[in-house]
Amino acid sequence: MFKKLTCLTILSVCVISSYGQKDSTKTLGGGDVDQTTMDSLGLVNPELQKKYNAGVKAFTAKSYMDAVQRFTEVILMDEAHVDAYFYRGQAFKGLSKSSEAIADFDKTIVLDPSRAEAAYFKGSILLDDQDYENAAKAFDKASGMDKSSEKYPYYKGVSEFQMGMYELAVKSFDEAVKRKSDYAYAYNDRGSAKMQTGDIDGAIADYKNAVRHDDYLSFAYNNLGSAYKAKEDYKSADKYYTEALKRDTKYHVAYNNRGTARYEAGKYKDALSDYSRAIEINPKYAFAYNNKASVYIQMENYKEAVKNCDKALEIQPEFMEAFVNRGIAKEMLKDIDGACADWQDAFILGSENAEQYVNGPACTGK
Amino acid sequence: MMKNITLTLITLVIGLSSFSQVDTPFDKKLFKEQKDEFKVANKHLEEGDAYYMAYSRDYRKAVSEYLQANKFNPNSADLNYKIGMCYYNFDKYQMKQYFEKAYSLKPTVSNDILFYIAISYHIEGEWQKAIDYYNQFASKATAPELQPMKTKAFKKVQECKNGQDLANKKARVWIDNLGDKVNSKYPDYGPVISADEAIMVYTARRPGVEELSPDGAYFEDMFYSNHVNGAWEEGKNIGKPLNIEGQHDATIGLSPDGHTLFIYNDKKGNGDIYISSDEEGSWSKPVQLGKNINTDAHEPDASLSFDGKRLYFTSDKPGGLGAHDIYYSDWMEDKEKWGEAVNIGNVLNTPYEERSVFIHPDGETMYFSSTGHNTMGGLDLFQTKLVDGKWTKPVNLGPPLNTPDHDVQLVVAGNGRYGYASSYRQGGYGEKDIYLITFLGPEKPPMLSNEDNLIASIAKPVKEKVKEPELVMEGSNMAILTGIIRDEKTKEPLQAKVVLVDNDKNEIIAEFTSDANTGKYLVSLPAGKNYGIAVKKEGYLFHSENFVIPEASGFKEYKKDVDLKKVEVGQKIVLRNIFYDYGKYSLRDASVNELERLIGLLNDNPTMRIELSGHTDTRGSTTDNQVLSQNRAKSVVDYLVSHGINKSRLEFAGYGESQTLISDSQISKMKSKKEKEDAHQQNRRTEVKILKL
Repeated sequence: MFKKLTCLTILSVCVISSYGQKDSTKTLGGGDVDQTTMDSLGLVNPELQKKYNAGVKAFTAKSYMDAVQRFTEVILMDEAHVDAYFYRGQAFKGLSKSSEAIADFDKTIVLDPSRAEAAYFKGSILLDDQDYENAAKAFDKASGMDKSSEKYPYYKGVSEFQMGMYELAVKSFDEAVKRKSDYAYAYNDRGSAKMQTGDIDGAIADYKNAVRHDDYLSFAYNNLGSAYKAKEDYKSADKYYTEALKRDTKYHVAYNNRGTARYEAGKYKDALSDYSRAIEINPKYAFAYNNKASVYIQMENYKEAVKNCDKALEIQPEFMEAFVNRGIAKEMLKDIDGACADWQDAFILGSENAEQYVNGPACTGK
Repeated sequence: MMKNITLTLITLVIGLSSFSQVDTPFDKKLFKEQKDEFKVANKHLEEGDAYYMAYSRDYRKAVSEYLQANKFNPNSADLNYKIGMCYYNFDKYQMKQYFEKAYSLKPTVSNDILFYIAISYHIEGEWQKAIDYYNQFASKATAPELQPMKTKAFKKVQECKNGQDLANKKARVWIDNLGDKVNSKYPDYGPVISADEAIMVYTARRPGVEELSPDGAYFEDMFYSNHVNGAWEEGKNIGKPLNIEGQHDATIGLSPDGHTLFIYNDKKGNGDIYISSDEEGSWSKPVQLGKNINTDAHEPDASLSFDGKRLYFTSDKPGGLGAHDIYYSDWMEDKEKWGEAVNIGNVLNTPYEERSVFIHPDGETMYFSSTGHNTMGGLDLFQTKLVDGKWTKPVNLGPPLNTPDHDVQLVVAGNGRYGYASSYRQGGYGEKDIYLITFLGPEKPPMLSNEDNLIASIAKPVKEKVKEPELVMEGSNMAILTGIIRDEKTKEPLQAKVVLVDNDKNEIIAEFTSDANTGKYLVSLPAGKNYGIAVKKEGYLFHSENFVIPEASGFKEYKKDVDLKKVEVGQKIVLRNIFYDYGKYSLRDASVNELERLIGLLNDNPTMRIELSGHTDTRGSTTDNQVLSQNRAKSVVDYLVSHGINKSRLEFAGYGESQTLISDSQISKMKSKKEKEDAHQQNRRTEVKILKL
């Protein structure tokens, strides 16, 4: 009986989970649970069986309110009905009722301490709610319950990364790739965690592993480019951003990043062209406007720099870097009052450089 | 016949064509068909030669004649060379085409032609071409008479290499013409300013009462302009006794307070430094500085330190490192004259020219020009700093302040943000103009914005913030104290003495005098000292202030108007430079100068009786404050008695916290901690009250 219960659970989770990397193509099995299974589960009460099946039908049809109602009726009839709690929890999740869903997943775990997916779903809700600390705990619990699944330590690593605990995240991603040696996502994310700890060479090795296992990961190529940029190897950075763009020709982030690599290499015209392409793809991309302004400052075309900062600030009114840059361009246009006003705004938004400029000779007149 | 015409035309064209490529001297045999035109052109040539060869060598007039002759015959190598040489002497940017043409027509036109072509490229900043020509010249200059020029060429090659190196080290400055209020179509140059930029004195060669000088331009006169509401007023001739008809009168330095002017005068033929003071609103007759400064050699530059006690100047007198060197001389208080000149040393001086020395009011930054060090050509402007008593290796200020030609003088305001210099630049009002230099400080790097998709499973991009580069803002570490001194009751401006004391060393640093007409005064306070400032005038009670300017405090400007009180019964003064240790009543050594001033007041008024009172702030126990204030007042009385003041003339009282200047309720409304601390400081004081005269 236990075996069949697990099988049903996994089957259901495969259908319900939307958090995995790839969409499942399996379905729940066309509605009612067959009688043999019901018997083996001990669902001998026909009324209970009927309500449970109605709950499953509603859930499959994404009628989560209805599903919650049906599973609640089941629970009222049998308060130890582990599947009813588990699926009601998922129905609550579908309704974005986090606390109710978490309560049901907790109850599921109490009733069935081997139900790792319940801990995983709880973790995924907490991760979405940015409660990274409790998310990491939930994924850790799932990982302990089921030592074969790679996604539990992976998402634990993601939660730790979000908390800024990069060394712990590296360990969790280590565990994920130990469980699945071709886990491209885990390699990518471990690379990102290593970047944050300053281990750029380690990051490069991981990003390369990621694309070796999945050549279509444009963002891993992009991250590889950024790792080389951090090493001031702008030629390699350019190469990998270009690889990212080959795989995703509409990847505006990679255009912007390749532009900055080209900027750092002093190729201002090429940088300008990349930023323009990023804007073409995403006309609301404030970063690219600000970076265009940086190029124009280097090219001493301050009027164009101001125009691009204006645009960046129109899209993103609290864009600190754009205020700093517009101030620089205005100063060079001898609009000192304008420059100081922009630096004052940047200072309020947290720029340390702007603080120095505001207190410097240009703004104090001394 | 048609055939003949065609043949003649072809011959003429071929003839002209070959004729244009060869040297064509002014020989009448070569211009048989243009006898009349040749005659006119040859006359221009002869007149040009007369100006060119004359003792005073008027190159402008010479070139004007030569260009007429050149119109008729542009293919004379000799004439092209002469035109080039004329331009070399007054407008180097015009000379290249003529030297190149001369060389192409006849490479042997002169054995120094390659040197001058090299200079033509040098002046335009075409460094590599200039180097190639200098080297070509050096390799061919075998004649003994060319050896000095060959040596010069080797130095010029180094200057070009410096230029290549400095091309990427551009100074972040704006250079703005000061406008037609100050500048004119005539030469305007040599600006000198007070530390607060309130006044500028400069030199101009404009028509007026002056006649033309032997060099064909007007004699130099000094002009001044006041800075009012952020703009320079129209420059006015400074008049007599500074400007004298029929002689050059030029400014070379102005003291930071704007009251002492240094003038260059060549009436003895060797160039000396003169001084004039602003006395009660008018300039005194210039007086030559003593023999320790002026010698039989040439002394063309001077700059006075902020305290007026050290004069930096230049001289080409024997015994230096070569050409003009920078010297300094200290004022001898006891002998009331400038002391023996000291060569500033070989960190700044070179075997080449050092000129236009300017010491900044911060007392630790010097600007000068030099043809040595790593100049990129001619005189370049350099900056050096006084660190631990030694001048640092001079730094070339780089382009665009420096050019391959002469860049002579730079004066910088107390704030370090603005400087003034004169040069000949395109777009000016004619000849040399005065320019405002705005120092923009270190480069402000633009900020880039990046983001990456760091977490594969999160579609939403994670913003990556770019770390801001570190930046050290440079700037002056000093303060300027300005204000007006007036009579307390009538509010009439007073000419009073401002005494600046280093309280830690108990030394008088300098004495200044406020302006008789306006009562204005200006004192420069370099950082790192505890200053006592006393304002004194006969018949008035002195007024004291205390300023502590920490090291690395940046530039600050304080404004403090002082209303002096007449010596009358009932008047009070606060002694701001009396110092005690915290919670104690024994006087600190730093109080000596203030106490001496008080003794001076009592000695000047032998029947005066005074009360000395001590006051504390309201913090701490009332009883303790009462005792402390009384003891502190008594300490002052004891000091005065021990220094010869009769005890019967002195009373003392301790008022504790009972007579605060600023109440606790006022202090509680103040926003910042500093404001509150300053208020408590105001309340802690020692006061003198006149009881009887």
